Amino acid sequence: MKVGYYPGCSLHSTAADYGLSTEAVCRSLNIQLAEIPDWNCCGATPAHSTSEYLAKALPLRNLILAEGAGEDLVVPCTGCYNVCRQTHGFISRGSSKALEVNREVATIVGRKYQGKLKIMHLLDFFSQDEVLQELKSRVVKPLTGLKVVPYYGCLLLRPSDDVAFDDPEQPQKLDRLLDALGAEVRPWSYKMDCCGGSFAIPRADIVGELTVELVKQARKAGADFMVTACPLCQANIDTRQPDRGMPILYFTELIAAAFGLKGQEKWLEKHIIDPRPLLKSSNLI
Amino acid sequence: MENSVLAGDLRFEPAESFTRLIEKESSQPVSRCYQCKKCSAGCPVAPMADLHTNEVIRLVQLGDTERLLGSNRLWLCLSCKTCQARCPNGIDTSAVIDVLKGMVLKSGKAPAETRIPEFYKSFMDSVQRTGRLYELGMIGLYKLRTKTYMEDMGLGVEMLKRGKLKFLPERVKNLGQVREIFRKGREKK
Repeated sequence: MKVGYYPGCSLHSTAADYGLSTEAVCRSLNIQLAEIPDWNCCGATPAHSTSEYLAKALPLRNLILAEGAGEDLVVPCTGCYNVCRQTHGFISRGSSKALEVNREVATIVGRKYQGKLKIMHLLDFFSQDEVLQELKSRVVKPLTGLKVVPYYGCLLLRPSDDVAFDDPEQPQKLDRLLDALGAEVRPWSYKMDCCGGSFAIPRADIVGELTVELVKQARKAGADFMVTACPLCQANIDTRQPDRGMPILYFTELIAAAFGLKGQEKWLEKHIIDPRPLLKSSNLI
Repeated sequence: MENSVLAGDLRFEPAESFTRLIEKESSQPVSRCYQCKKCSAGCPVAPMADLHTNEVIRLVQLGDTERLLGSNRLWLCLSCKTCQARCPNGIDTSAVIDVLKGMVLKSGKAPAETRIPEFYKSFMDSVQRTGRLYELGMIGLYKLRTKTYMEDMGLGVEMLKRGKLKFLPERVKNLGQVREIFRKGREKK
């Protein structure tokens, strides 16, 4: 199977562990990731906070390039996914503003966005029945005994009209995927709470307060690990804990562990809070 | 927004015109709000901000531009959209706040919070230069602008060692297209 792929800036840098594990898992499932040719940054929070035009025009260039290359677009970065889907929704609703932006970007890129892309988050892609069945059948090292809390964060499912592929207050898809891998999924009430997102650099104090609470609650729920599908959530939890006690893994890293893939060191060694001792003690690596 | 005098004139003008302007620019039905405060109850930055989420909407209804545009809450909004998810009237306050932030930037007055807008600016400058975010360059710009040279130095080194920050930027090949998008963006302001 071949799908369009938009890694975004993070998966080449601060979330290189997410990028490497995603590529390895997809390779082992015979899913070919066809990267959008010459993609640019989606603009993320800084774009919509400072320029309404750039917030739409930057992701629109990517959607046009992706539409020229295929029908599906899989996006692992939750921030990029959110921006792509919101832009897709904005163009599809066809307001006069949307028509104008689409026309203007077309004069730059060479064609308009037709709104035909099927944009999926990687977690949504893996949660499709047939893919989930395949995942389950490939598990050679079930994550038995590993206690985890699924941490969805903000941008994966909000604003729900444009982006949600699961219940925006009580999501289950990451829970189900982790369950399929054999992990013990602990219930907690902080699945959808914010980590502080893009304030990581300018207001680390705020991120610190929010992550300390999240980690405290994860611990209360009995978790050994937090599991996420978002580079910002991962970075904030990984870098802003005073005692560095709670590792946070990408769900793709746990899939790789359950598949018993070779070369897991390549991405696991990139974490600030090393998850390897716990994975080793559970005989997973 | 181009015909608005409000960005440059920050007086308290109780008038429906301001509400209408914000509703149009943000595409949010601000006048529907009946102050149930579910937005404020779920807001992660409520303890740090000088206005509650519901107060932002109320002040838009009242046309109190002075308090709104001088509020640190605009910049402390994380765009987590919890307020949007829970609003019984379908209002996305963070979209309203994006419009208000645009008014502050356009007015040329100093924002009520300095670091966050400087971070956004540094981020966008980096994207304009290479088409993709070059974290190290962006952090350098941000530190120069905020004079926070020593903050997070240890963490930065750890990230570099692990290959989570790259020494060299990635560039979009067709950078002219990205630059042209930025040029159009400046025209719109």
